[in-house]
Order: sequence, then C-alpha cells, then structure tokens
Amino acid sequence: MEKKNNYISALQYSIIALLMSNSLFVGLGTMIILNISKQDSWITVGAAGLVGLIPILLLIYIINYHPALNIFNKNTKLFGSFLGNIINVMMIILVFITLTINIWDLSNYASTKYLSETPIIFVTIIFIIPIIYACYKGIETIGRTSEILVFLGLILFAFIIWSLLGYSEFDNIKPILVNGINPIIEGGIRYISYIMIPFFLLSVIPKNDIVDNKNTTKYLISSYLLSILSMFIVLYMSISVLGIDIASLYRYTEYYLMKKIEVFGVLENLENFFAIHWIFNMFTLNTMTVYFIMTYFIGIFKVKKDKPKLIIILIIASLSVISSLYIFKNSTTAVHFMKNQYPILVALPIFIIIVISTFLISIKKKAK
Amino acid sequence: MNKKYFVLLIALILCTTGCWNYKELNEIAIIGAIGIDYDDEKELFDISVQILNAKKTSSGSSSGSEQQSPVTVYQSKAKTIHEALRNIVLESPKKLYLGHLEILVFGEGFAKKHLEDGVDFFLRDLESRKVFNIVLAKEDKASNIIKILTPLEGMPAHSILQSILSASKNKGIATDITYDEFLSQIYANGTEAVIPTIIIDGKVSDGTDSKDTSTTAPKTKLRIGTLGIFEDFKLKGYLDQDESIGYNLLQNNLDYSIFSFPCDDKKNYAAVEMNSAKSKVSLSIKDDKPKADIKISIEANLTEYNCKSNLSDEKVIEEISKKAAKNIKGKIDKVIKASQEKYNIDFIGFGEQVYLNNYSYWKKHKNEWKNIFPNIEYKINLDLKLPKKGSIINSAKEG
Repeated sequence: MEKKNNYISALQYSIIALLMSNSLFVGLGTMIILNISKQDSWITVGAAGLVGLIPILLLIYIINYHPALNIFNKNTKLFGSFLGNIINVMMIILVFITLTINIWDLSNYASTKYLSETPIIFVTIIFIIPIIYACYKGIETIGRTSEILVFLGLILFAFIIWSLLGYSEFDNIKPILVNGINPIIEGGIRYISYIMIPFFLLSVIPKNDIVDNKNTTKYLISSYLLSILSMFIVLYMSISVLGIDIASLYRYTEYYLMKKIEVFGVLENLENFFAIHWIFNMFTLNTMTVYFIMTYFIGIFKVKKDKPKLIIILIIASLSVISSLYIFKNSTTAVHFMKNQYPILVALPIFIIIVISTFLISIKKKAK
Repeated sequence: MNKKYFVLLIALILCTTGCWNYKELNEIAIIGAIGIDYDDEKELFDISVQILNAKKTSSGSSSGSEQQSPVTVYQSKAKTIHEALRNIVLESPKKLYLGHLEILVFGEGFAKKHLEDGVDFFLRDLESRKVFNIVLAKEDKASNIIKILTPLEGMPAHSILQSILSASKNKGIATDITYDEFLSQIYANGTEAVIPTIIIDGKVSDGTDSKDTSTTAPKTKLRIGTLGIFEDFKLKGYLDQDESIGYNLLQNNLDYSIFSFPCDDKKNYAAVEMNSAKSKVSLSIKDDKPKADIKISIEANLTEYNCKSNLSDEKVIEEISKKAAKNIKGKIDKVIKASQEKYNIDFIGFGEQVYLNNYSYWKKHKNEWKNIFPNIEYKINLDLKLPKKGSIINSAKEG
C-alpha cells in the first residue's frame, strides 16, 4: 500500500500551479516582457494568455492519459523504452536548467535587495533547505504548504493592489500598439514559454494521486486563468503607476513599485510584503522542480526507502546550488539567456514533446 | 538519525542568518538631504550631505547641547556621485546611509548643464527609496541650501520637504515631485519636467549658525520659490508666481490657494480661497492643426471683500465670481503664453495629449513639434462657484 503522503487534492494541485506560474511576477519574467512589449505588455499577457491555453490544454490531455502513470512512464509507454528514456533524460536536463535559473534568480534577488554582503552560497543554501525538506516529505506536504501559502499570498496581493489603486494613472498605458503587433508577439512567445514550464512540471503527479481527480481539469484551467489575471494586473499596475519609461528601467519593477506605497501615512516598506509573496511562489516552483527530477531518479533506481530518497534529493539540491553559482556571469547574461535562448533551448523542446505526445495519444486512442 | 539531521539543519541555519549585512544604528550616518553641484573648473561632482546629528538627538535639549546643530554637513568632490559620497567616510566616523533620504537638492549650475550625468546613481542605488523629493536651489548652489538650519523643524531636510508640500498644497507655487516622477516627466513624450525651487533669504554664514534659529527672527531663512522648467535634462528658466499657480491648476496639482483681485475701480481688493479645482486639457486636430480645449471647474469661498457692495444680492456674487474667474484665467493664460512664446518649451503637456490620444499625428509631426506648439490655439472654459462668503453676510465697508 502506498504511503498517504503521495496524495493531494485537485484544489491543492491547482494551487501549486497557480503559485508556480505567479513566480513570473518578479525576477526575470516581467522585466523581459516590459522591455519587449513596453506599454503594451498588459495586452501581451492577455493575448498570450489566450494562446497559451493551447499547450495547457494539450498538457491536460496528456495528464488524463493513463492516469496511474507519471510523465516519465507515459513517455516510455508512448515512445517505447529506448526513445522514451532519451526523451525523459532530455526533459530532466531541461527542467534542471530551469531549476538552476530559478535558484539563481531567487538568491540573486535576495542578495541584491537584502543580503548584499552575505556570500551568495549561504543565501542559496537557506532557500534550498525548506525545498529539500518539502520534497523529502512528499507531494502531500508540498500541496498542504502551497494551500497555506496561497491564501497568505492572495491576501498580500489583494492588499498591495488595493494600496496601489490610488497611484494608478490610466494615461500611462496610452498610446497602445505604437510599435505595431510585433512586440506583442515577441513578448507573448516569451510569456507562453515561461508559463508553460510550471504547468508541465505538474505532469509528474499521476492523475490517480489526486484524490478528487474529476475536478482536475476545471481547477487547473481556473488557476491558469487566475495566474494570467494576476500577471495582467501586475503589469497594468507597473505601467500605469510608474509609466513605461521608469517601469522598464528597473531590474525588479514591482519591488520599486511597492516602494511608492504608503498606507494611511503609517504603513511603508510594502515592497517587503511583495518580496515575501514572490518568495512563496518561487519556493513552490523550485520545490516542484526538485520533486520532478527526484521522481525520475526514484523511478530509475526503483527507490522504496527514505534514506536513498533523501540522498537523491540532496544530490539534486547540491548540484542545483553549485550550478546556480556558475550558470550566469552576471545579470546581463541571465537576462539575455532568458530572453533569447530559454524559449528556444528549453521551452520549445518541451512544447514539441507535448505536441508529439498529444498526437501519439490521439492516434492510440483512435486505434483502440 | 533524525537527531543528526536536526543538528545539521540547525548548524546550517546558524550559518545563514544574514549577519554579514547587519548594521548597528550607531555605526551609520543617516542622511536627510543631499545637494549636488558641479565644479566646472575641476570637472567634478560637488556633493554635500546633511547628516542627522544622533548625539544631539539622543541628548535631547539638555543644556550642554543646546547650541549644538541638529545636523552636520559634509562636502566632497569626485568624478562620480558615488565616489564623492564614499569620500565622506574620510571625514565622517560613520558610514553614510541613504535609506532615509528625504530631499535631493540640485544646484542651479548642475541643473543647467550636468543633470544628465548625475541621474543614474540614485536610480541604481539599492539603499535609497526612490520616493524622495527633489528641489532646485534657485540661483544658488545646493551646498548652501543644505547648510541652512531651520527654526521650526530640527531636521532641515524635513523642514524643506514640509515647506514644499505646504507650498504645493496651500499656495500652488511649488509642485511636490519625487525623483522618479521627475525623471518620468523628462523621459515622457510631448512634455517637459518642472521642479520646485528653494531660495535663501539672508546670508549663508548666518543660516549655518544654530544661534540664528534660536532667535525669534532668524536672519537667514529658506523660502520656497516658484517653479523651474526643464527641457530634456537642462534647466531653462523659471516661472513667476502667477505662472506657477497657473501651471499647477492645469496639472491638477492644486487644491487650495488664495486669489486676490480688484473688486472695484478704486484699487480695492477682494480675495477668494479655492477649496477644490479640477482641470482637463484636451487636444483635438482640425485641418491638421491641434487645438486645445481647457476646462476648469473651481469651488471657492469669499474670504475677504474690501469694496462696497450688497453681498446679499445674487447678481453681485455673480459679478464677484466673474472677476475671480477672470483673475484665475489670467494666470492660466500667462503660463500658456510663457510656455509658447517666452520659452517655446511644452511643459504644459499639449504634446503629451497629442501623443496619448492622436498618436498618428504625433508620429508624423513630432520632429516639428517645436514649430507647431507655439501656434496652438486654446480655449479656456473656467467655471467658478462661490457657495460661501464667510462669517458675515455683507461687506464690512457697507455695514
């Protein structure tokens, strides 16, 4: 009999998706979109959100196929043992790159904003410890933690947006489409490639591990739409409050946006609320990424006991910490990589795997 | 086994407490204001910082420290602002802390020629909040402004900030503008930045002496001046008082102000106090020419009336409203004329209205906007309501 901590509810499943996709708020995601699409960034998110539904629906289609299997087992079933294993290894490499970038992003943020004199290795370690613990405890712990974090995050988010309303100027988002539709398409491609990965990570959880799995599709689409709405609000607020010239100048736009807020003349430094909100999201994203890789190796080595599982997690965590220290020379390289290489090197192959898998599933279903 | 992990976790957490970044309060020098000048001869930034005197603050108003200044000013020069700030550690025993910066003062010379070279640091710096206010030392150096002590507020930086806020809200000759808002105006299409100014009334040497602030009539005081106008990153001139009020009315920056106007032909005056104002500037394109339509609605109270009239008569009140409206309209007219004719700088933001609402026209004509802007025809519709006339119902002269 499987352990109880391998099961989550459909709500927790969708909450994990929401938290992970909201991690695009700070760091590299919004900055890149703001710099490409300028004052049309909010349109970009709206339009890309609709187009982005395609890979999400394809993913749901894959998740629904053989609900007892995780993505790795599905791949070997769909592509055969040899090709399936090659695809699995490729996926692990791509997800590991994503993990490394995310850990770099998180520790770089903390180091830039709060702990500028602390060696970055220690900042990274402090972030990785709870991730190791959550992964070790299993998906149920991740789900429950996310459930707590999402409500805290939503309260913080609602409070921040309410505080910002008074500063928002509609004129700042005008004129629209000044540079035509190309920046929207370019920004949209990036946005879809960033938001697709968090949802892809969920495919590691077999649908049968979701207790009330009938609601999964409904909840997952809802959390996707909610994350699009959140991102839309964040970008709209960034542009309408700061103006596009200043908004696109900052490395952490939303963080500086928060610095403007003063509630009732007493509450200041609300940027730290936002930072907490973002760290919650990044924690969930990184935990799920480690969990994804861990699940693969547990399957490969047929691990049943806790000790080897912990060793696998520690190895993944250590490798990601070490590689995050060396992955980018500086933030310019990081931005360049995320803007130009990531969509092609990481997101595109994953999208191709999703499309081919969907195609094969539909053929197999028809053949039946 | 679990104990081992627990000990390992605790050990790791102890290593990662972030103590590398700790700063004791007594080890940092809290900066309230920074002044930026430029030494043209040596081609160096000349930075002056006003630091809160913690010794004075902690000892309160004990007799021994009564004559001690609440702030200390340090000055330094370097090729970059950051280096100049860091050079101050050679004189100050504490490391400078920018987190509580309230005011950034630009010297006139710096604002005229070198502003563009000096804006980066304060945007890039991690320590400072970007919401500090800015002010221009009118016809003066920023370092002089920084040195002047203020009588009613212990911290001069805070005093300057409060004066700007008060002059902006209650008089209308200043504009409360933060650093990021100022830069946003500079970067914006079709408009130019405007900045509040500050003037020293008296000798600098008197103003730096704390004895001066302990008298009932200090010899030297800081006074908020009228607005300074920029084109791109360069200071181009100043508006006068009426023009500054007109500007703030047009920009919806003004809520309260007093307007005095003649109420008869015998050089007698009346005053109204504005309680609320709302303006809307819209531009339309007709025959390939932009035309401005300015709508302003004001609610004001009659606060002084030194003429002889029957204020119970509604026609008289209507007449007073018209005269007050004419006076206010004159200020708006004056500021538009100043922008179109005197400076040919679109700080009113007509171009911005075109950019926001008629982008195709802006795209076509942005390079020739300097020629189009002075010829823009405008119409001012001012609706002034005068619902209250104070504690008395008639003119005091009328009896």
